[in-house]
Amino acid sequence: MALCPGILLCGAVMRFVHTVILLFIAAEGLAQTFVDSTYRVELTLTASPAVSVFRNASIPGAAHETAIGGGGFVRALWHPGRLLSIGLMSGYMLINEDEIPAVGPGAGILQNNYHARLTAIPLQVAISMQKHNLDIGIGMGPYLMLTNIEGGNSAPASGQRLELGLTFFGSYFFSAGSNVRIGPELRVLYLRYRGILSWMPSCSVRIDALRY
Amino acid sequence: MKWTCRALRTCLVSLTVLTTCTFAVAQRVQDSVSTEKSQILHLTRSSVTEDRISPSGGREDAGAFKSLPSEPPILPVYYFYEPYSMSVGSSFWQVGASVSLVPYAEAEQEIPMPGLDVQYKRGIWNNVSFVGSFSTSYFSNLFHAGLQWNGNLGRFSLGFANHVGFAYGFMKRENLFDNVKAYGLFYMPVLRLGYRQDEFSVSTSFVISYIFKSNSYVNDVQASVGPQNSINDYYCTFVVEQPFLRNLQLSIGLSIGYARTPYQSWMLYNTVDEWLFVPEFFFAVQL
Repeated sequence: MALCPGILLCGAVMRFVHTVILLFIAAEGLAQTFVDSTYRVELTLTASPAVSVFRNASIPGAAHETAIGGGGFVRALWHPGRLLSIGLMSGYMLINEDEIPAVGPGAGILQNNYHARLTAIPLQVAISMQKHNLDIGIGMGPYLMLTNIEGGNSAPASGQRLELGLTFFGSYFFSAGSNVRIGPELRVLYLRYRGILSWMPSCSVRIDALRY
Repeated sequence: MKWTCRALRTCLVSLTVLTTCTFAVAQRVQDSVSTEKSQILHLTRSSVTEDRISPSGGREDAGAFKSLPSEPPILPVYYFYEPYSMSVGSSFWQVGASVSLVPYAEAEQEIPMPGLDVQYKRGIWNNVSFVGSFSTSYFSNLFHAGLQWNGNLGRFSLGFANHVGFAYGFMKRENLFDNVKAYGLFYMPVLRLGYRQDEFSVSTSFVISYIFKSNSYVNDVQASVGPQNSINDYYCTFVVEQPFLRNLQLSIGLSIGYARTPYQSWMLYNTVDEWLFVPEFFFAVQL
């Protein structure tokens, strides 16, 4: 397992996070007190197909540089009465699935071609601005990239790696109940290191999990 | 690099389209409730400026939004990146954090470089403010300050700043780095454009850094002469500033830079003689 250094496990990152939290608390303490409006904790569930464009061919020798996939995502945002909300985002996404034909002198004795999958799990901080049912935001942080190759007479081989990515999302919600809203969403994922750009037209359901 | 620019441009276009839709919807709703809004007892600190800016761009008498006798006075709202004119004598501090990606050509892998930012802004004359900024990731430090001229026309604002600055870095790690130090002196002109909505402000900055002199030392012996009398960086910064959590003023932004020698990675051997892409995400809160 290969991890990008210093993203999650490094002590320096934890010190940085603690510093940020302390600064935030200090600044909030110095802010004037004010009459609060409604605070909400919002849970948004999203399902989408995905069209991914690769900078290089997804498999060496493959002719295509695009792939069809899909995934489901969830984000939990704290919305303290203003436009801005902040929270966490995760999910599971299939980016690409390919068949690698087995060729060579020994191909005749192989039962199957090789089957390769590339999936991703976002582990991101999300921020968004919400106004009158329109929600625009961005998720920043690592994606856990999972690769799996199996087939032929070989044992399955898998690997994983943390890579930084950006997720842009924009959605418009329609009321479907007192605490439930549903609407279309467009997500765009950009993985710079691997050179992947994914477009995901989605459907989202938002639930006000907590109001106070 | 070309593919990266194209992909990033596509993402920015998508975000711009969605943001434009947000503005359009918000403006329509704002117009329809503007009369009702003036009757609200608790006017938010962020919904008015010292002189109320009407959507048409003209200035309205601040008395039109005078608070009731029992209410506290309405305070003007100033943001750090938005080049709106500040009243003489007003000032604020801002602290925050940033994360920048060290260029692949230098690091050969993804390395996020965190940093701590402290900023100060003060109105010293009409339309002129003093601006200072200090950024540190302990091993790399950057300070620059200068005067900024600000002007506004309705909700739009324009600013031009001239900063001079100093960069200093040091590092000593066993089996990795000897006692390495480096410094640089630079000039930094900044062009800022802003647009203020009632509930938030959007601004863009275009920055160039011109290095007068830079040097590095290993065990106090001069190792090499760095960039001199040349342009080292081009930056474009996009920022959204708004209140968050009561009256806490928050700046969130993304900076995209092209640099010959990024200051964040001064300690790495830069054998690549080309412009390097340096993205940076940052946020800051006003104290």
